[in-house]
Amino acid sequence: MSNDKLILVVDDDPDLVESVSMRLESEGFQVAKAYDGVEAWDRIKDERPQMLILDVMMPRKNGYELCNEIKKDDKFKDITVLLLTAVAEAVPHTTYTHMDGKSTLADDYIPKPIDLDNLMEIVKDNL
Amino acid sequence: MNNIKGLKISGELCLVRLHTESRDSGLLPAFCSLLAGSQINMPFLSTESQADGIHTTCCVDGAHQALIKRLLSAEPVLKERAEYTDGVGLLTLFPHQSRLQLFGRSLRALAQADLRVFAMASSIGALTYVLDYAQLDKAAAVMQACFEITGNHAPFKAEFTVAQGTQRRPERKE
Repeated sequence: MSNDKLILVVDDDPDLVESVSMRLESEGFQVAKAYDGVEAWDRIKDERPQMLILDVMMPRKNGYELCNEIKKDDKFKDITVLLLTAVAEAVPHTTYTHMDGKSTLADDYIPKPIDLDNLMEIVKDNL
Repeated sequence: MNNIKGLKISGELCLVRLHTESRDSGLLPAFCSLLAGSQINMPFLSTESQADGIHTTCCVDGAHQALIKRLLSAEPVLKERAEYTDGVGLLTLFPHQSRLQLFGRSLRALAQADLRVFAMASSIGALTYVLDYAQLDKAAAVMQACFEITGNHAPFKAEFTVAQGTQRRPERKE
């Protein structure tokens, strides 16, 4: 199955980027990769993906900031943003929780640790 | 292909080596359970089976060494099999994507720069070396000379660290 939809996977964990990308590619999606928020913003401007799978805790520009910048930019606000957020029970005292993620303008949320089958369902539901 | 997307260097870590005989296959899970029970992260873990037994190498935050020694003091079998090396750090190159050339070139460059490699491991996305912490900046410079780091990459040193569970600070080394 081929799919012309381009999905940008953004995380500072190279293993997560690779594993998610491999699964998306196996389902026929085109995939681009970035490893922090600043690099992701450059890729968005250059390649205009249809969807972002976006981690929260990243160097230089975190996922909340990037998500809000995208959604406030008329050129890019239509890009679907799926925010990777650790469930609150797993990180009870950090500022990067699922509850905080809900205050962003993301279209949907993917809980971490990632279940790749669940991720694929969320991706397909949002495209 | 001599490009990589980035590299990371860690904070100061402690290397823990655990040597168990093949018949003691339950000791490694017991060791991992002890660390997990105390929410001690292992940013590096490799294990290999050799003729004389199972050799496990892991790295933990240097500040956790005292706690690990205390945990193992209640486990005599584990305690006598554990060795510690202070002052190590991780150099991680990514993406790796099973490129043997990346491994070969980087290892040769480290050797030519007379940088001691304590351990290495590859994963689906990265290639990681355990090096002398005091030599990490030099190692990063060696890698920059060896590979073209493409694009607008992030700083090599982490801006934050992620720990399990609570925000409790680890105990300082004695």
